[in-house]
Amino acid sequence: MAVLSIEKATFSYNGTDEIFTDLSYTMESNEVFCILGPNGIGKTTLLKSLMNLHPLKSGVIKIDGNDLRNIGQRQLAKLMSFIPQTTQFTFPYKVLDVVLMGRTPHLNAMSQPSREDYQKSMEAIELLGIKDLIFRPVTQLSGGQLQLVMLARAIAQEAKFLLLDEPTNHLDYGKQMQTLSIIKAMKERNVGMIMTSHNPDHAFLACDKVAIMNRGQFTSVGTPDEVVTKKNLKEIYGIDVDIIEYEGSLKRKVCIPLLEGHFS
Amino acid sequence: MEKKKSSTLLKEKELSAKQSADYGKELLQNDKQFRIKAVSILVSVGVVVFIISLLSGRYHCSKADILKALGYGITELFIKAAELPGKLFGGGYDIKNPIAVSWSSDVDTILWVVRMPRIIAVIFIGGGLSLAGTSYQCVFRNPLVSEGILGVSNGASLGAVIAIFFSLGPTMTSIFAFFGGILAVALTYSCSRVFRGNPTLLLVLAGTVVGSLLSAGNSILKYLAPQDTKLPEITFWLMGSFAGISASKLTLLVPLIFSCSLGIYLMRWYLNLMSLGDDEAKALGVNTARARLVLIILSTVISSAAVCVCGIVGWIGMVIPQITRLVVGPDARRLLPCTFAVGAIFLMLVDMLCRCLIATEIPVGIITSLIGAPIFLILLKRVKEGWA
Repeated sequence: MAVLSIEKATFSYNGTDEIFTDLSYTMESNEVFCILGPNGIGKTTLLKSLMNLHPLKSGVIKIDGNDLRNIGQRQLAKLMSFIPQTTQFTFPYKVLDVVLMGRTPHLNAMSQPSREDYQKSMEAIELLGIKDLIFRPVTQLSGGQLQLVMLARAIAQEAKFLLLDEPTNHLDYGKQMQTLSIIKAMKERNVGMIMTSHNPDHAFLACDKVAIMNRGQFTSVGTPDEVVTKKNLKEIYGIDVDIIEYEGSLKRKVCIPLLEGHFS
Repeated sequence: MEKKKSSTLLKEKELSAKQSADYGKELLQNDKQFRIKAVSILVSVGVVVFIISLLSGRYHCSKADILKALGYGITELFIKAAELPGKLFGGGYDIKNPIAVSWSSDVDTILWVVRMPRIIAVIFIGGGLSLAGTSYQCVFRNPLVSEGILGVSNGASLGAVIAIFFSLGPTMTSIFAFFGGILAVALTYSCSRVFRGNPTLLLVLAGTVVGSLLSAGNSILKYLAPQDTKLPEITFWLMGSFAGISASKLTLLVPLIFSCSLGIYLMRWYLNLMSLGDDEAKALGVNTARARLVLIILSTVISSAAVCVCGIVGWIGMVIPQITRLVVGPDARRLLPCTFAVGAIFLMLVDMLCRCLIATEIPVGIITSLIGAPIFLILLKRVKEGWA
């Protein structure tokens, strides 16, 4: 079990205005951690800092006690994988090639994907049920199909942690639920996940821990039941939300936005 | 309960993945078939064009004689190889060349001194420029760039123009052009490092700035050059020509382009990742700064070497990678070798036109643009997905 710890992480683009300040959180690789927060609050920036794409101003991020900055890009990619919100493909690569790219950190310098890498990629592709897409150009895929391809790439990468930046963005309702169930399934394989979301219901559906990010801080951290509350949602989204316990076979809470009278 | 369901579902799927066929083998088999097909097509077309290219030219001599001389030369090579053990270990034996010499020595000169070095240079320049263009297109994530984007052509031109301006002779012109190109790219690269931000965008910006500065320098020298002696020389140099190629230049050009091309080919998988963009390539474990620097150096040496031998040959570096990508796809593992071959074949054809179309030789830059531009437009119209 790998441990990811964020210790007093502070980041700033220009050196003066801090996007987030003194963030701390520790998680293991069998946990799904969800970050909720309003637009433009720095959730993506935090994920990129975790990937060492945006080096911190102060504080450290450690995996199993090792500072991220000393790990080295290739080694880091064996520990963490990242699915950005959108991916722009300049050239029409085939789905199979894109999934194979996930195997890069496991290749030696200057070598090519081997038979084993093909095998692992195909297993990931089968797992997500996109076998009939493998020779299609990624530029022709729909948003949902592309999301599955990116998930397959992350599975092929075999990292201990997976960072997902709004994984349900642009997906239809069914695909959103499919993505969440894949996230739960990956947790079973001992992959720790950090995802950002704009839908508080997703926290109840798939997450073990939730944090609310606002004004550069985790203003509230805990289990979904503790964090996703009327008060917190009012604070970050500025709307009234009712949270009720669903009285069916599944014991789960549901968010109900109250639209009435909001603009009156 | 929900949790249990999702985990059993996963187990089932995992089981079926385990049971499934050996995909690795199947897919690599697929790849091998492609390779056999590509190699057989490209090599056979290449050899045919190569021989036609050797046969064509303005000097009138019997085509049969040239073929015979070529056959003689090749057999001679094999004979030398066969005799080698005898020479090394004593007890030498002579093998007689079965082809009897029946042609004048002019034919030998035409074949081995004039045409052969020129065509070999053309092969390496065409292939090298296409390869450099491909690697730039991946690094800059833009199918419309070519090796000129970082100022290599402007730098090489300025170097050559300075050498011509001060009458330093043809050897110095080549040397100045070579280092002019490399210095220009070095300047662009260091400028881009001064600022913070998206590294590829900064490189392109710096390349534009450096390029325009250098071309201003170029214009000043052209303006000052004596109109009836130096100016035409400069103008012809800038239009590009293979006429000045000799066997001695080949000994420098071929190893240089070959080793750099091999270097780019070894980085073919990273080239794929670079085209995803900086962040994504890093997230997949690529040291992008280093990969980019190495690719830029290798591509720049290729372009500079090409430019210093034959002047500016436009379009190849942009159009050939495009055309090849439309046929074999963007995967650099397939694209790089194919683009080298297609570039070499294309430039051999262009060179043939240069030599044969009219009584005097046409500068190569004119023909590449004349052919390249329409081909490019046709492709742009026909296949839009290539750069979607």
